[in-house]
Amino acid sequence: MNLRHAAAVALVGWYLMIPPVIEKAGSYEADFNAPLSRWSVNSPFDSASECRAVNANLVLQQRRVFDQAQVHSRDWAVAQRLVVSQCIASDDPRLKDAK
Amino acid sequence: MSARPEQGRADKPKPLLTDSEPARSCIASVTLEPMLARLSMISLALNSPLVRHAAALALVGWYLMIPPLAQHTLKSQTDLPISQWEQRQAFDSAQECETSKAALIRTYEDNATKNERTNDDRMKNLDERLIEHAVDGLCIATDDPRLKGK
Repeated sequence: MNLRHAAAVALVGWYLMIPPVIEKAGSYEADFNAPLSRWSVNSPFDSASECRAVNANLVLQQRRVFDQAQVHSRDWAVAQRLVVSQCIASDDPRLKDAK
Repeated sequence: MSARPEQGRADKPKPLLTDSEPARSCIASVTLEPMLARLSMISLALNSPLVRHAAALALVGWYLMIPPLAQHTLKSQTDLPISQWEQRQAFDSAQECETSKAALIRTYEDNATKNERTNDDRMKNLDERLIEHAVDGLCIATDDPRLKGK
C-alpha cells in the first residue's frame, strides 16, 4: 500500500448520468421517473466540479436542440435527456438496484 | 495488483526461526526490520496532513437537495422523504454545497427586492415562497441512505 493506493481507496468518483428514453407509439420522451439505477453513464469524472462543468456545457448545447426539435421526436427526447442529466457520486445508494 | 501466483507458492514454507538456530534473535531482527520500517512509513504517510486532508475532501461528495413545492400553495414540502426531493447540484465538499445554497437564497432575495416595487401580490408571494424553498434546501452526503428512500 502506498500513498496513491491510500488516496484511491478514499476517493469518490462521479458519473454524469442521463435518464433512459421511452417510446410510446412513435412518441419519444426522457423517463425522469426511472430509478437512477436505470439511467446510463455518459462519462465518469474524478471530481464533482469537473462533472458540473461538463454538465453545464452539455445543457447549454442541448437546450437549443431541445427548443428547436419537434416535440416528442427522437431528437427532442435525446436532447431532453441530456438537459436533465445529473452528476451522481459513485457511492450514491440510488445506484444500487432496489431489492 | 498482480493476480499471478507467487513463485514457489506450492513449496512447503521454510520456518522463519527454528530451535536449532542459535542466533535466533539476530535472524528475526534482520528479517523483520525492513517490514517494520515499511509499516512505520505507511503509518506516517497515512497520518500525514496531506493524506488526511485528501481523504476528508474526497471520502464523500455532497448534494444540494431542494424540497418539492406544493402545487397550489407553493409551500416547500419538507415533510416528504428526501428521496422525493430534487437534486439541485453536486459538490466535492460540504462547504461548496453550503456556499451554493447561500448563493441560491441570495438570488431569490435579489429578485424579491426587484419585485418589491411592483404591486403584484402574486409575484411577491412567489418570491417569498422561493426564498423559503431555498432556505429549506439541505446539503447531504452522497452516501446518505435517505436518498434511496424505502
